[in-house]
Amino acid sequence: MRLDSVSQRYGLRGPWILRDVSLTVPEGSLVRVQGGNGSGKSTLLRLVAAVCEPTRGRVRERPARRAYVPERFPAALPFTAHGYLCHLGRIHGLRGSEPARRADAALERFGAAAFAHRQLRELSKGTCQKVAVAQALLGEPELLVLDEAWTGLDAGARAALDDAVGERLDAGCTVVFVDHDPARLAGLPNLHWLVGAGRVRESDLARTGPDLPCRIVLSGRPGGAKGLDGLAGVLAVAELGDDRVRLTAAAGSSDDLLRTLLADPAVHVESVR
Amino acid sequence: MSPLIRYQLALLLRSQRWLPPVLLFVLLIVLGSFGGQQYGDSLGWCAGMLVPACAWLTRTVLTGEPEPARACVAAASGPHRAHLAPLTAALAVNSVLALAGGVFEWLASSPPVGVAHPPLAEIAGHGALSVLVGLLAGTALGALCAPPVLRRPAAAVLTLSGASLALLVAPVSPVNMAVRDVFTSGSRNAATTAPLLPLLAAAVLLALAWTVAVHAAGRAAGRTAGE
Repeated sequence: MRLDSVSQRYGLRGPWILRDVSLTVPEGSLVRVQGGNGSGKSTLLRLVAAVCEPTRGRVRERPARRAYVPERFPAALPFTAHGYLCHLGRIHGLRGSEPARRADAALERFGAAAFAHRQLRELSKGTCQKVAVAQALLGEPELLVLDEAWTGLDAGARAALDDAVGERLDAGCTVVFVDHDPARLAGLPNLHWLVGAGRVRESDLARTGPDLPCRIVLSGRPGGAKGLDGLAGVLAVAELGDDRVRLTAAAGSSDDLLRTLLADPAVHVESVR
Repeated sequence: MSPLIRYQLALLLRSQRWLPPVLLFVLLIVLGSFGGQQYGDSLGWCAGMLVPACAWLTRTVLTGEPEPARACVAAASGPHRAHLAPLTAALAVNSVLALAGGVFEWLASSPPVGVAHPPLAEIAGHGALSVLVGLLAGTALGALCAPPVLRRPAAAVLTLSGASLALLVAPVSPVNMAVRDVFTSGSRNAATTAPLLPLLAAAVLLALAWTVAVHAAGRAAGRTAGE
């Protein structure tokens, strides 16, 4: 899937939310979208999911089976949870008794089976969110777009969604998501999009990965800790004595950092944690 | 029936939001039938009253789905088809309204008295065409007086009322022409004309309104959801 010079604004005089964004999404990739509040993450996600067409530019080669989970799902629908999922299942292309069967299975999976025959308006925010997530997984999508889908879910449902995303990835599905928890699906994403000021910067994971710090202990470096704090990705440097130095670095930069350090044959890396 | 249209119809019927526009139509039809009218006049009246009722009912269908729910459907089927579905559902419901209104008018009316009138089948046929004109014009108006074309409720409702009135009274409007074509009480020999030109105009109007609405839905879906 490709975004070709996509620009988006709402209304004729509205500000440009995204400008001239070109991105390639290899099939089967997991994309994490990051950016501040109001930076255009949700707009980007809606364009990817085909919720709307861009003002300028085009999104090409979108997979046919798509599903989207909005950040807030409305309770103001006059259906039961099960009834709504059956309708959505049919819209996602399921036929016969398949929608009802999969609706039951999905509600069970996210721990909402007890609410299957309750009206959506009677459900709590979290249970409604479970219905929204279940809806997206019914049709075994080839493109799954999750806009803070985890928010509001209980621990069990969050884990179930993590599993479901893993299963879809195994099946070759492309997944694009936003989540405020930096540890969400940590280690899995192979693409990061940083959204800001109308632009989207694609960054490969070796540079920006999850922002969990990692600690590298090394020894034998001529000059000890001298000059290490100037290297990219280094957050802190501490001398441990006996010629040993501990570096604290952003995990995303650790590979590049290790390559730089090990370029000197005298350096010995004792541990990376 | 397509799953999308079935979903939209279920959404409308379960929400009971269809009740106010349908009650308005019933009220207008019943008020217009007092005193026993001639066939042609009654069907013309029905055609006219269908305009505000169908427009309002179409607006009701188009505003019945919360934005995030629409986003889920649009992702699955594309924003254009996701908007064409409620438009089609509205046309289907409006057709039922038109059929019920037309049948009621026929049963509650009588032939012109004291003049040599054309065959009743001809009056019925021409009357049915005029009802069709009212149905198409009202549905077209409703498609334009709802999001994503007109997003502000006040602007949409005012436009809907004003344009309904204009469609009824402006001599160039297809509805006004169709009603005049089938009115029998004014003419000496109770002759009616087939409102073919108004029908063509109303069909074009509907096609244009749907095109505009579907195009706007593709551009603007999800704009109220922030970010």
